[in-house]
Amino acid sequence: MSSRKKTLLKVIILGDSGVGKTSLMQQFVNNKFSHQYKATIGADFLTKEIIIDNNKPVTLQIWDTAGQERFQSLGVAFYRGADCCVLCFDVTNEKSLNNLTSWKDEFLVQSNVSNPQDFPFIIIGNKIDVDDSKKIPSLQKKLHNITHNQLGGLNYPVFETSAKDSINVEAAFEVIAKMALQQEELNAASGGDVNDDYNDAINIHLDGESSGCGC
Amino acid sequence: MSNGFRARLGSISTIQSARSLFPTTTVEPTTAVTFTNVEPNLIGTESTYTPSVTDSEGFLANSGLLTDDEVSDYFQQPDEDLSEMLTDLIRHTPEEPTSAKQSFLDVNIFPNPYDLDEEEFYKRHIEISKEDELFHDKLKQFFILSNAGKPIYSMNGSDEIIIGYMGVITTIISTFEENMNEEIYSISVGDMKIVALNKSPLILVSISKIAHEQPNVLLSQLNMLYNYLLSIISKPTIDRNFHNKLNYDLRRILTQLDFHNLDCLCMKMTYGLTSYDSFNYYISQLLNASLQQIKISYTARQRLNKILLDSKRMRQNSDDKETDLGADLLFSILSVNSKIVSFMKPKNHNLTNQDLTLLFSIINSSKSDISNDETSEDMWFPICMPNFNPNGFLYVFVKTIILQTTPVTITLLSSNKNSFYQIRQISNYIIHKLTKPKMLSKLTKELHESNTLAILREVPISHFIYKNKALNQFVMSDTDNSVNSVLQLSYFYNTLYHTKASQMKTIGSLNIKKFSYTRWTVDEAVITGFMLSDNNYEFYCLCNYQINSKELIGHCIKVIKWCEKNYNRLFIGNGVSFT
Repeated sequence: MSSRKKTLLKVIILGDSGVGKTSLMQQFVNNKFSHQYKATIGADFLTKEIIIDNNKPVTLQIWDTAGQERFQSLGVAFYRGADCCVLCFDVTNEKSLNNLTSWKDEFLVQSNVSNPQDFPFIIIGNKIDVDDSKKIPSLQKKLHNITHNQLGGLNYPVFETSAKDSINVEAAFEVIAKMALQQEELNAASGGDVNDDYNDAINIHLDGESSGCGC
Repeated sequence: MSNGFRARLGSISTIQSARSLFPTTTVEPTTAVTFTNVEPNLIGTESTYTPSVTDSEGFLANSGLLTDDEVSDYFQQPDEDLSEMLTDLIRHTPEEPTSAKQSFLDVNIFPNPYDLDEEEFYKRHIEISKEDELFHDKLKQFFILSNAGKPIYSMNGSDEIIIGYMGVITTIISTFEENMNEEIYSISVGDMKIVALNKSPLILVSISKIAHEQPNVLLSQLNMLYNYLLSIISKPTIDRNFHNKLNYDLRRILTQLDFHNLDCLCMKMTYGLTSYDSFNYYISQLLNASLQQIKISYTARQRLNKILLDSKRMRQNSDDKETDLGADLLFSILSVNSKIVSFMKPKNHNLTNQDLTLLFSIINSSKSDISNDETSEDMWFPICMPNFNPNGFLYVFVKTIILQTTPVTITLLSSNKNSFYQIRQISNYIIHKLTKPKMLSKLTKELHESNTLAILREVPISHFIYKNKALNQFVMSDTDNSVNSVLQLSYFYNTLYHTKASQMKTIGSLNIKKFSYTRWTVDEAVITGFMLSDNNYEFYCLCNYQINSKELIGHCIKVIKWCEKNYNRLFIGNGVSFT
């Protein structure tokens, strides 16, 4: 029933300041990379249309948020009604990796999604182009610990990307879109659109004083 | 492909201070007389005129005590006070009417930075376009979005260009809502006005670069769009879809027809374009949801009312069982081109003018072209009348028949969705009665003449509107629906309406008279606009030349008197009720 219409998905990108959220988005949408670091103020919005499974056109509405804490007051408006969430860290910055859990928690608290356990998240480790010596020591082990932690673990697909060299960026966003679309289709199948019944008939008492209208 | 956005905010006002925002500023026409800018003059006249005002012979002094019979008399005496006050303001020699029709571009209604001709201007700045190319050139934008920032409707542009703006809008509105517990109402950036209406989970936004559109006007336009959504899907359906699913995309349940209807509404509300009833609609909204009716003789209207009442009482006998065909029928409307001829309602209930105009809009856009046919097909659809009850649906039966050349639309609203066959029988009865030879010839003759208002042949007024305040119904002279005329008329009346009126001080009278006078000089031609109102009526008129004040007042009073005399022909009053 919704097949003839393009699906619109709201994608939120979260992560510590400087991990490369804006760069990832710019690379994905515009195939551009800038060496200059410019902190995002509040948020930026970009759109990109992609085709999923060869025939499903999807419009991604990407909300790139500011990592800096002083902008966090923007809160609910960003998270509200998101279809999926991208958690980003910097492979050279261990703190940003350890903060992923709190970004996820922050998102779930603010967005108030109905089924937190089914909500589509993915994890992106950015800056893999950087020299190995600068990367977090034993990254894979630490990443495994975080994603497979029994207590509120981040058991989500992980992508290691380079916004600079355009490695894995497109693939990551495609998976995000697929996951979100799946969730959307599940929702549509279970709940369905409420529009098929016009049964909210008005009870009019023509002779009594009780009324169906406000007059 | 991409858009980065930074919102630069000018003055921001919130709902709390909204009241003070209502038309405090008025558009500057070529010449406008307002109480403020003629103050010294008026204060002078006030004291000068004190003797005549206290004079018990003067109609102003005792007009509040007049009985109905005297109403038409009080205008017999020349309105000396008013005409003298005006003489002070209109110090010009009368001119001959200019017959040359000026273009709306000459009137400077809109800035024309690229010096385009009419057609190019219309295409670039006015006409709805879903292409991105001209998006930023449009004078008017409307957006409907969910409060998650997902677009639902945009007057212009494609998803690609608007999605970023949707994010910005949601962010600004939510920031105000959450951090300051205030609702943002309007933002002005230079000549641009942005007005938002937060109907969580929906947000509606209008952006206007049209100087004569005030924030309060934009707000009522947004309410109209919201009411349209309610009318087709109702409040509970919207709430149910968004419940626990803030990411819901409302576009899933809107159809192409809905988007088309929203486009039509946007053009109607902003410009009074582009269908035959659009200008009437524009004036109706300008005059605070006033309704226009068809002029028809009192006896003919009575007869039509009786047909509607009789049809409501129809019964059918079959298999020894008597069924009450009209049991579920609530409202019956006979109309010609969205103007009501006859209206029937239950005693305890009514439809507001807003609901009626919305209903007509929807009927018009859903109606198939019937110009070649004698009758249209039967339409039957659910509709929610938001002011009547935003939580439920009524079921509408619509059929249009052509009487000679006039299309008469029968609209019947039922409370029962299974009553189609009964309601259709009622409609057949009405058609049967309308097409009886005697009725038919009388009705077609009257409807044919209804558009020509005899009074206009006697006065050199080019266009007028008379509104009965108590009924909130108006009569207006006929308009040619060309883009050029409509844009000019809507601009003139808008300016006239929003020009602050001067009040005539009347001692001992409760009937306060107000007037305002506006003059536009357009390419050597002069347009005179005049507004006169008291407790009972509002009168607006346009003269396409410079006129002396005494003459102008004389003509206006003649028209007003004519309208009062023809009260029963011009207005349907409250319609007819059944109990």
